[in-house]
Amino acid sequence: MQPDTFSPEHFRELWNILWPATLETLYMVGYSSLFSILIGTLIGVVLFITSNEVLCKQNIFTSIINKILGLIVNIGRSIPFIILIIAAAPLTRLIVGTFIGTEAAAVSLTIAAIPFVARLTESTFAGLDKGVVEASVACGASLPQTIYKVIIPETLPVLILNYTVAVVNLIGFSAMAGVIGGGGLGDVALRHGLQRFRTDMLFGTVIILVLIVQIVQIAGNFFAKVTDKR
Amino acid sequence: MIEIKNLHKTYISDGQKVEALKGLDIQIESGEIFGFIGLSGAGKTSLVRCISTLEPVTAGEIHIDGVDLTKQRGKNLRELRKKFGLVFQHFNLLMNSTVYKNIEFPMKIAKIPKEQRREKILELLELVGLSDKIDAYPSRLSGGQKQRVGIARALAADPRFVICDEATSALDPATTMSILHLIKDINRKLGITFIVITHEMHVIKEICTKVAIMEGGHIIEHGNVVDMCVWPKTSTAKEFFRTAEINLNNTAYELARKSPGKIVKATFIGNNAPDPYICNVIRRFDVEVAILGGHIQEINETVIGVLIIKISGTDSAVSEAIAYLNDAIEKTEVIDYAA
Repeated sequence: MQPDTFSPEHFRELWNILWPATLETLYMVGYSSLFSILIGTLIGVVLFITSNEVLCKQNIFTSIINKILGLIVNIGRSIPFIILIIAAAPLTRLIVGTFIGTEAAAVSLTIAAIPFVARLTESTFAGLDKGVVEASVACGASLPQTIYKVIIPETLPVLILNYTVAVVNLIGFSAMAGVIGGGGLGDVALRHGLQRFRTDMLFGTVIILVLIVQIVQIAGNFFAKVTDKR
Repeated sequence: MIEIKNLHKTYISDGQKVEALKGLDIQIESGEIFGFIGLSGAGKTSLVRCISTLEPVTAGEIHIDGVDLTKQRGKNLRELRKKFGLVFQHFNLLMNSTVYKNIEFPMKIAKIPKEQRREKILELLELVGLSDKIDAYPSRLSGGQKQRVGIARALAADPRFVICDEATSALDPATTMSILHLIKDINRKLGITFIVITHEMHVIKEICTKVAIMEGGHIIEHGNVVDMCVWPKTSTAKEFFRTAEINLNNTAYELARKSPGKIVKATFIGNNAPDPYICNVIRRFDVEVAILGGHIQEINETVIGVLIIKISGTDSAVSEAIAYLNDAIEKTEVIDYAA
């Protein structure tokens, strides 16, 4: 019993369902992007320096850290997100007190995206000309100075583009958050659009998701461009 | 002063040992421009990486002003690194930072106050002739300009030594000359010691005062550039300095070989180069002299003249003439006997 397509009641109904869902999606994607980028970058930095002779004297210790972190990252990346949401439940409960709801979904999304961001960061750093790193070390710069003043600023445009990829991925992943009651546009598309045959809802979610992805990608490209002086 | 004692560097790759440096001993005095020359694989890169502490040494000592670099760790090592400036073949500038920021970087690391940094950067840009590029990004600069920024950066934190690792190898000949002149100029004005690593002889001849020739991980010969240019001992040294010589594969030489007499290569060094030795030979001895070739070059403000002449006459007169030349000038070689 779909209302008239262009009636105000119809738009109000769409708005009442889609708007909160959009906010939920933005909430999940926003938090998970922020934390997965922060933590993932940190892990990426550790992965990079533990395999870089110039930055850090290589020994068994660094090699073990690198191997173990690499293994964890690989395992994290090979588990399908739908399984990870369930598997991460105890950890999620530890962090936000529950494993159901939007907050819990944000935590699951963060956990899922960290390994991806870590690898992206590592490979971005690996693409940097090692001569620049040597020039910094040869000036007497310490490890943190080389990372903050040389490696990150020099790779910033590429990092921004890669992080944009990660955020767009998270938007896609967030659709699955409905499984644990996370809500969001994916949930609307599934429950209203698919299960109740509300094609209008389905289209609505798709249009909003397309818009969000477009905005994120355009913003990413813009910031990558303005920071790129190479 | 840099003193290198019995320096060894061994790399292990895929379980195989590669000995890059096999016991180097050398002293580099302050204020010199000291050149290391060698073909690829001679160990030049390993040496520069050991001196600049980018690689740990396998064995041996590197003393700078009495402190052994190889024994330093952590903060002490980083402090010592500030005594060095490095100039790279591929510039290694921060591509996402302006010229100003690039030069500022080592000074920030050395915790020099902001006002002093600005003053020094302006001074350095003046010195390297890039004052108008202060806010440009490296991608807007030519190769030569990038290397000028590289040199300014190397000088920024007032280093005692500047190591130039193939600093001109990626530049065209004209730019190379201007960069070499800049290095010589800085050495004169600021008295900074330069260590120049290169595979190009003309770099050594243009700016170096001392040179060490490397081969197979050893220094096989070292000394004053002028001396080595005239009296090279090893075959590698002769090979490197041969480019300085006159090409003898010309028709005049071939014709000269067919007539009687001796072909002599006479080398004059220093202030007596313009003296009229050849005139004296003709006046004093009953010989004829034909000039086959010659040139004059200047190395470290020392004039080196090379003249290829053919002396003909009676055997005794020719011998006497050669003996006279032997006494009078730095080096006389009978390089070929005419038929």
